[in-house]
Amino acid sequence: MIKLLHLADLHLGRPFRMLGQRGSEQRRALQAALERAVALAISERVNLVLIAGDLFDSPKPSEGTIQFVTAQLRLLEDAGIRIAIAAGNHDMGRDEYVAAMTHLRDAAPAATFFGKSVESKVFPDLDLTLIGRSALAEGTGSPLSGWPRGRTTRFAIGLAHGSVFRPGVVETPHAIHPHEIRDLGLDYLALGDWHSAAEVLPPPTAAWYPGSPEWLAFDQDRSGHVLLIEIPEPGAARVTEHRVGRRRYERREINAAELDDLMLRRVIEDAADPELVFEVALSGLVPLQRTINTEMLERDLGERFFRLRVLNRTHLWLEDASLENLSDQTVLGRFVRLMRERIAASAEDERPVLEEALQVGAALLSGREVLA
Amino acid sequence: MILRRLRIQRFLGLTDATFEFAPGINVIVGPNEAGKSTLRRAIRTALYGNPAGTSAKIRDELRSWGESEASELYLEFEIDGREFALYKDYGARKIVLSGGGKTWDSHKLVQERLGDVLGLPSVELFEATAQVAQAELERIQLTSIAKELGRIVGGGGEDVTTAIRRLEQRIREMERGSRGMAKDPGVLKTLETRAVAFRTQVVQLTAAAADAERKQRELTQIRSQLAEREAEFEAKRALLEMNRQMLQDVERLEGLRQQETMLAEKMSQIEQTLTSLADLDRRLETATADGVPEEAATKSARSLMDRIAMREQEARHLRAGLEEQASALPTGRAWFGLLVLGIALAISGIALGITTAPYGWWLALAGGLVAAIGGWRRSQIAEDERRQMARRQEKQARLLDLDAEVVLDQQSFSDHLTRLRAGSLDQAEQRVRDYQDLVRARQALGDLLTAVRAGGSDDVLRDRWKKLRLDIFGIEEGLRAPEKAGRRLTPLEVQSLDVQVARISEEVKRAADRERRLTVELEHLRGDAETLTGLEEQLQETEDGLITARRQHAVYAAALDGLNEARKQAEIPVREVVSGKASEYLRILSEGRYERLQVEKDSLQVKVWSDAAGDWVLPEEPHLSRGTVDLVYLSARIALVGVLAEGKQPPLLLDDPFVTFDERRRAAASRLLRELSQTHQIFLFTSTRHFDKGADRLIELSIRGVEAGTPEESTRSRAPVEARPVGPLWEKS
Repeated sequence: MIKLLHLADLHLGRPFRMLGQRGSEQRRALQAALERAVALAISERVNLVLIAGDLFDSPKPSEGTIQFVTAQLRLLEDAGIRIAIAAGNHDMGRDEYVAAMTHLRDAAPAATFFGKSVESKVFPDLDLTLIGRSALAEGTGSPLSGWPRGRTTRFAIGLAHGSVFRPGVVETPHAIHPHEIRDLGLDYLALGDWHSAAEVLPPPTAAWYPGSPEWLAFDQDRSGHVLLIEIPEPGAARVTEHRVGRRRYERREINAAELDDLMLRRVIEDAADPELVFEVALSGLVPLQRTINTEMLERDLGERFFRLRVLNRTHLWLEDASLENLSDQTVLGRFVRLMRERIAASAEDERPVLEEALQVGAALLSGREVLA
Repeated sequence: MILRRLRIQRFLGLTDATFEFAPGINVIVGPNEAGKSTLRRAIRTALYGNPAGTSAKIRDELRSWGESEASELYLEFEIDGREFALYKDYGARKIVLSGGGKTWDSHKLVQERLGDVLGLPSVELFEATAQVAQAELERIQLTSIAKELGRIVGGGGEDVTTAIRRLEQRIREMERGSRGMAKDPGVLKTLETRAVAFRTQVVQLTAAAADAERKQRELTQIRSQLAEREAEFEAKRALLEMNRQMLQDVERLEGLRQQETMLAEKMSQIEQTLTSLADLDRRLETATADGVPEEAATKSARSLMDRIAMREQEARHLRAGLEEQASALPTGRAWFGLLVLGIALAISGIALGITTAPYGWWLALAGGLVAAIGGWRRSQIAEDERRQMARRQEKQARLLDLDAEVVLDQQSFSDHLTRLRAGSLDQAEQRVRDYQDLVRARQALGDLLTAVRAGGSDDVLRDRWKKLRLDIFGIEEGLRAPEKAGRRLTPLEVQSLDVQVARISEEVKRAADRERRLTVELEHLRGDAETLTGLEEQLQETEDGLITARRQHAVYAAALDGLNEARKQAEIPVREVVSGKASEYLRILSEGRYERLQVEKDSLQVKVWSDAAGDWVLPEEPHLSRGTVDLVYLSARIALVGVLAEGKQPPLLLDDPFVTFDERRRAAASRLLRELSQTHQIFLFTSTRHFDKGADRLIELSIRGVEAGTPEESTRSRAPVEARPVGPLWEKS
């Protein structure tokens, strides 16, 4: 039986601009995820670790990052685990292999590195053929083009970096098409590029994206995994996801119109987790009297999360009926009508500011504290 | 709008009560806690409350204590003579308005129309305008009439000026330092400054990173060159070393060869010497076999022979001398002649002298002298002849002796030759010389052999020679080895190579120095990669913050602009109406002492014309008395109802605003109430009985009644209101 550990898209050294001062913590978390993946590979005694591209975030990783990776590769090498690395679209060096390959090769002389050309490597003791290739520049063809068919060993697996065709999502002409994967007839195809774990095809020609082992950006709710693959016999790959990432990402849509401010705070507080990147999108129509201060929510509750982002996507509920509750003789009534006219006459992108201005003005006239 | 009847069930302190109202002045009198506030709230809730939209919490609050069912309110009212009944059930969360044979159960519809009729669309506005409380009068002592009026005109509960000032202040805070230096800059400036600082650092670090990259490239290049040059250096150095070694070997070989030649010669010399020695030994043996004459005897024979020769030579000399002596005997006749001549001359002279001339004497003297010399010489010669004769005799004797000795010596010599077994002395002497020569030659050869061997044995010398030849062979073989022979350089080439190696060594050293320097520099620069990323993140965070702050600023600016514009629009009618109506109310309340009010733009500051001062004065002490200030406020305040209700006449709920008035002013207040009752239904809630007389309906509440749940009512009605036909509520004419 062949046992593999498949990871990809670690993006070590990635800058996290949206995290500000906490960016360095997340970069360390990426390294910690690799450490856990390596520990898993050793404890599970896998035969081969497959890194399907974008191990680094840049073709010029920092010295510290390279040193960290070489130390991890050395651990695998010392444990007798084979390593195969393909370059992704982020970390391809000038030699078209993974960045800093010279250093990595020094650390793991037995490792297999794939460049832009399709190459095969046979592991006779495993009766296994590994075919692989690094990412191709956009528009230069499918990464699986020109791959050999048929096999000379009992097992055959592949390693590539690129996007799979998905109707409506990925429709570029050079995307990997599932029928290409089927035609290759590999027992398992280790893919990289997508940052969320996803099964592309089931056995007998199983193909997976493991996603990023650690959270990288908003909108990634299936990151944090590596894949453990067992192939007891050809065409029977069993894939299990193993969580190595610590950070979780959750996006929650909350209809602010259904909750008062207290309840809204409570809902966010209930999700508190120092490892959680929590993105709250407030939606719904809120009345004039309701001013939602996302900044204050982030400030007050942010410390309970690794990162809290509250997006205000609510809209002002200003129907004619509610206007009639406001006397035209009061400043408030005049103000609301005036602002409403301005909102109606404004460009689409100016509306949110005017709507908020309307809420702020109304709140001030109502004696509510809204000036952050 | 005229409220006619209100039935209250399970509402706060009133379990079940029904109140009848008059169209004019309704005075609700009772002590504190008798239910005045409950009734006032019940009226308000009946007009504006939404049973469907009220939270369970509020519903529970409204329900009378101890009751399980929620509150119900039933209000009957008239609008332009048309009668309506409004039912609100907080338990069933329903609302029903009926009138003119129709029924409506939508709170929204009902509320829209009621708001329209009242001129006050929201409960907040109703509370702010149609309710006048004693607390307001207390408040204006703490704040100002303008502020209180601003609060009402604002329509939301906050004074407009305060709201605008707060917004302006906030905007100023945000902008602080944006247009110049500020000690404590606002958020915009702070974030801009921070962003600029971060950006500068990012630029610097990016430049440093580029520098690091350039250095890294240079380092890689230098390392590659260094490796090449080191390899070249090693190769050339090895070649140089090999050739140096080969040159040393050649030199050594030369020396060894010389040694070998010398040693070979020495060996040959030894051989030859040994051969010569053997030959000499043979010759010596031969020489000694015939016997070697004794050297002493030979010498003795030689001396004997020499003595014989000497004596024979002496004898020959003696004989020759004797023969010469005999032929050369001296003669004295000349000298005798001279003597005779002299005598003759002397006599002739004497004779002449005596006789003839003086010169005879001189001639006599000269003859005498010549006669003397001749005479002296004649005697000497005679002596010599005598001595020669004596010597001749001696010589002859000696000659005889010599001849005898020669005979003896010749005999002795002959004996010696016999003993020397030689035919002649020369032969004997030759044999001695030959023997001595052989002995000397052997001695010389022996010495030579010793010198050549130099204390060593011939075997040692032979071993040394052998070893030398082996060494020479080894070196020659080494030099002939293909790996050396093929790389052998000429001395000139070696010299050139030496220069090259020195040059490469210098280059390698320089490259190594540069590599070390670059490595150190890179070590310093490398730490900056993480810093740069961190800074970029902080820059992004700051820029995001700046975007948010600018947006917030834009929001506040838009709000401020809107508020200012709205205030401008709203204030004009407010000022006009308030100035007119309020002046009238003030005239009534002040019994004509003050009758002109004006409201200032923006600040809504009210001013009163004071005849005493002959000017507009602010309604505050010391310009006006405390009581007059209250009158000014009430006048303006009540006038505002008309403005804010847009000409409609909502019922006025007055919560004891005249409680502090003295009797005279109470009378004035009664007159004002009567004036107001012409246009508004009045509800005066009071704990005093001062207004009982002026009431069209007097409702008395007591604590006991409240406690019992049924208020005690006493009614004093004026003329009943004439009923007019009732039409649909929303059919506005």
